[in-house]
Amino acid sequence: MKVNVSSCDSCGAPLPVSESQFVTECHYCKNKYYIPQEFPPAVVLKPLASKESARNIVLKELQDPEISVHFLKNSFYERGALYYVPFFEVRGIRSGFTSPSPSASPEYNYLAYEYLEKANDLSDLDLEFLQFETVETAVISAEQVPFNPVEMRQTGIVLPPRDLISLIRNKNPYALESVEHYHRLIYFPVWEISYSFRGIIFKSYVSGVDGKPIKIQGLRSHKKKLWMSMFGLLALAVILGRGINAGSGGLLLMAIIGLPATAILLPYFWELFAFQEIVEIRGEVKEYQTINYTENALLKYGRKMVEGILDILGKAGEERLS
Amino acid sequence: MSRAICLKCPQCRTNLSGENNSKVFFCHNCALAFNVDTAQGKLLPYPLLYINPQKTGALEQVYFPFWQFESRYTLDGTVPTDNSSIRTFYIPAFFIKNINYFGDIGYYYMKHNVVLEPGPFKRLGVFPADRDIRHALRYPQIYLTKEHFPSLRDMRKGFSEVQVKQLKAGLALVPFYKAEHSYSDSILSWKYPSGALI
Repeated sequence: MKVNVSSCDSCGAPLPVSESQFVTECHYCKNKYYIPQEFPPAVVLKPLASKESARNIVLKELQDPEISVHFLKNSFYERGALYYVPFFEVRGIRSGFTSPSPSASPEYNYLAYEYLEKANDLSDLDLEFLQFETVETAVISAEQVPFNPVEMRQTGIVLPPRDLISLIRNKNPYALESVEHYHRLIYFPVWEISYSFRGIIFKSYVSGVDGKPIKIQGLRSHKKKLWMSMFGLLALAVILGRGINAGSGGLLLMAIIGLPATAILLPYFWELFAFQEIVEIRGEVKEYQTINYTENALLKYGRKMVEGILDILGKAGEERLS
Repeated sequence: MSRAICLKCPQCRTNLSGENNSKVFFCHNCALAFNVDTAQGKLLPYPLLYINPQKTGALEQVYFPFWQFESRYTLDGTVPTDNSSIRTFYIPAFFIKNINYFGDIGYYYMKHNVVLEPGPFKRLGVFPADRDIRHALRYPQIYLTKEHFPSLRDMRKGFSEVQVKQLKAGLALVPFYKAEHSYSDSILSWKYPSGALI
């Protein structure tokens, strides 16, 4: 967040104001000032859900059958952070004669238009998908609190707005016929709850206004794949048994020893070496993203090995020089 | 960056009250409302009226600001004179989201010929007034056109245009009752969700 500095008229003290802060108070003589800014005035939606309640919501959502039980048991709670996500709100009123249908006579009315624009691309937060509908619904039910950048920075992370004003003005189709036309910067609070599982961070987001889950991330359950693999192994055992003429007793023995062993070992095999999938739940939509632990582990150990060798070589070189 | 405008009452020198998104600031000692004029870099004073509630409601109350205009008007396109009709308009100094769905309370005050009775000042919170007088001044004409010429057919029956001449301007603070997720006004008992008023 950019900070501009003006000065107090009566005592000359600096008046630091952030981009969307129009009203400020002198620290020394307590005089209040109105400072017109390039950015529109900001309002903040009151964050209702606390960190603990946001975490409880995430934990409840993680009970989804698509999420691995193994992940629920063995992941570590990392942190809960409150983000203030900026949105530009464009609103205004048009007036004139409009006809509800082509055959009807035009009626005089004044119509309100309002829409949101992202003030930050949110790619750093993995929140690009944040739907305008989510924010709009929250804005209707939310209470507003005074914009206090210092307090906001103490309680959470304030994302800076990017300069999109010119873009909004160009995009607005009603600007010329408007009775009035305003911009406002809305800070929408979002809780980020992160869990780590074998070195990978899983981030879930909950609306800070009404506590609705926005995105829930966890490790995908591989139960279905596991059963399919076991069935495949059994089929393989049958084929091999026939091939080597082991007979029905041999097949039974294979099944008795092989299947439980596979059932015990396969989940670990999946978790450790096979490709893993992150499942992202957004309301009704579930998305899967494949990650590869083996590659990460190999890179990690490979890097450690190279560093170790370089250390040894370096030390040897130093000894020789001394 | 423009020059800072000091938010002090010129009469009693107390700090004016208002929020970050306010265009109008209040001095409750002198009962004055100040509209920020950024072009001229100064505050324009208007008289402030505190309104008595007409209907009972929840315990908690909040003042909502309305621009109050007394205007003369004509419906035939001629310039209003001293003999033209007089009417009082109450224009919300705040913004109503989705006004076509929730309805404009200022228009309904005019339609029901509501007369707001001034009363004593109460120590209540004031909802930020972010609609300045420049924008609010256009509404008497809009309200009258909507009332008298609801369709284009009516407009063509010998009338041409509504003309309005402002006589007095002031700001009225109307108490609203605050419930958990809504506000209802103390004059017509209209209900709005709390986020619909900004």
